[in-house]
Amino acid sequence: MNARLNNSLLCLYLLIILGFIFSPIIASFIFSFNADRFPSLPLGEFSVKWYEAVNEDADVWAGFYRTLTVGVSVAMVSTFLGFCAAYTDYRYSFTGKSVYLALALLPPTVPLIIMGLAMLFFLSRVDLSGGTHSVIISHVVMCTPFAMALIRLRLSQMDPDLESAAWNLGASQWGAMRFVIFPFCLPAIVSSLLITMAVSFDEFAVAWFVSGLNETLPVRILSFLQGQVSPRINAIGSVVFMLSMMLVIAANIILMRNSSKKTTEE
Amino acid sequence: MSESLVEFRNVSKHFDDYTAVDNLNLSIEQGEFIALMGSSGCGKTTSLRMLAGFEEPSEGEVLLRGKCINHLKSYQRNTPLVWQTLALFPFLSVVENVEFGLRMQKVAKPERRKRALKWLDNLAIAEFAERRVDQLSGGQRQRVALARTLVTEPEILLLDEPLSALDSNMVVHMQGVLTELQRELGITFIYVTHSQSEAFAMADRVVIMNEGRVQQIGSPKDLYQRPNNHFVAGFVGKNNILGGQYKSEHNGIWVLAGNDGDYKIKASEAEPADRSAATDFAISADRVFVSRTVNSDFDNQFLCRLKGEEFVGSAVVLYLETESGEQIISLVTQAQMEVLGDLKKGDYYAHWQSDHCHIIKP
Repeated sequence: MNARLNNSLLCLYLLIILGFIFSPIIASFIFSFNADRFPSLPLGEFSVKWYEAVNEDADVWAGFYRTLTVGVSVAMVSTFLGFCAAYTDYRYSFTGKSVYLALALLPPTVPLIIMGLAMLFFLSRVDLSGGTHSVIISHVVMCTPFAMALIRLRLSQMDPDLESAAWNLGASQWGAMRFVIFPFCLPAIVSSLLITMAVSFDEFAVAWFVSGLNETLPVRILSFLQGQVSPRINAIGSVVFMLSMMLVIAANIILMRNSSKKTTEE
Repeated sequence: MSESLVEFRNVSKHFDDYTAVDNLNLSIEQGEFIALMGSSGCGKTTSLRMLAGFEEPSEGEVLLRGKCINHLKSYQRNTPLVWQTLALFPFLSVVENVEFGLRMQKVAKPERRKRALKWLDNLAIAEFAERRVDQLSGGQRQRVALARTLVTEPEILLLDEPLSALDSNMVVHMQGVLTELQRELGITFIYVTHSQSEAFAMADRVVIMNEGRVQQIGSPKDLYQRPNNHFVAGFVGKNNILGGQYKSEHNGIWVLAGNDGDYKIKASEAEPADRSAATDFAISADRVFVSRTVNSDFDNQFLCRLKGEEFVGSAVVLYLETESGEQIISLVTQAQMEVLGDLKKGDYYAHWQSDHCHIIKP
């Protein structure tokens, strides 16, 4: 009886937490379909006019395409770099390896404002600031550690004899990489692509510093807010939220499907 | 001298200040089933890894068909290995696992599929060809691992404790499969194990290693009947190790002065021991008989008390102690036990033939 009570209290607690986290997003989602100019209760009539307004805004579309370009490029480059870093860690031991690992995993711990400022200073020094490529470079710096962490985790689940077994069966180092390491890491690589894309998609602070006139979507949203509080933001917010959630959920499904495979093996 | 298939010539392997293999000299012939046996850390696996190309010898040469292969990479050797962990590729199906070696040799797909299926068929696992590796039982996976190494038709197969993950019934079954396979194919098997029963059941020759050094090389029967040093005598089977000072020789029988009187042993015809030093000899526990009275058929007789007994299935191990406190073990069959009657009371005579004693080096 007591355990049951505990259990339901715990459930309640969980629900409150989830409500606390998601209510702003849900509110934004609901108000994006509200015809009223200002978000207030009771709700006005249902309307998709804010979505239409966003759809007609060329700046929003330009920002979206830019965000997409950045996201896809960042996903590919940082996953590649993350894979290389993780494989280096897996395969070799060398002096200063712990320093190498710490440095490789450091960027997410730097406050975004500092990171943005530093990136701006650095990129303008080398004459690379103010473009889409500046955002790509900065986001690669921020996303590579995520990619590395994911792929490192996968490599740590690999039977250490697997690569040697491939060599033993006549695979060269490249052959073993292509036919054994890569296929083994594939689930982690795919989820790394999705996660890094999601991180880049959402990232605002650093992009705001380095993007100059080439605003990404999150930066565009801020300029909306600065001019006027428009329900259009709710519409954009909902779309962006859906997109990045989809990426994260897809990544999780891929990872989970794989780990459940792993447990049936044991 | 005819050329050996594999030869280790003065091979040593050091890891930092630890010596894993110390001056190994070993020739392995075409078509031989040889087992490297010893407890963990004895250097058997390191020796195998040097042959497979995962470790480079610190000193000496490893030769394959008379050619030094020290600097060849693993993939340039064709010395396939069956791993202790099997190391099957989890993301490939059974048949794709078996095909792997052929795929690396760039054999065309229909051809390699055909050859892989033939091997799966040989090993009676063709029905699982399309399954994932993790859907198979331990014994089936074992067969996949074997098929995967044999598909490239190597002249030598390395096996690193391949049966250690199986339950005991399966081990015996797979021993049969391996011996039969080796005989059928006529290729050389080099089998690393810590298990005496596996090594002795399958191998033509067994190499016993300890602390990086070869202790003795011989057929299972040789090792069992004629251990040539303390380590082997203690490691193989159940041996009593006794010793004494040389006193005299008569018709090839040495008399040694021991703690309980004279031991009579047949001097080894192969290599005469140093008569001035104390001489140790081994007598196998199953050659030591026990009775109530002196039995003149045996030329060694010692009065003993029973200290304990241990039931080991078809036989009983008797732990005896002589008057001077020397421990003697005797392996007695159940039938002999019945003749002896109640063991708890009185004294016994342990006796054995001088023929069955064997001088060992310290």
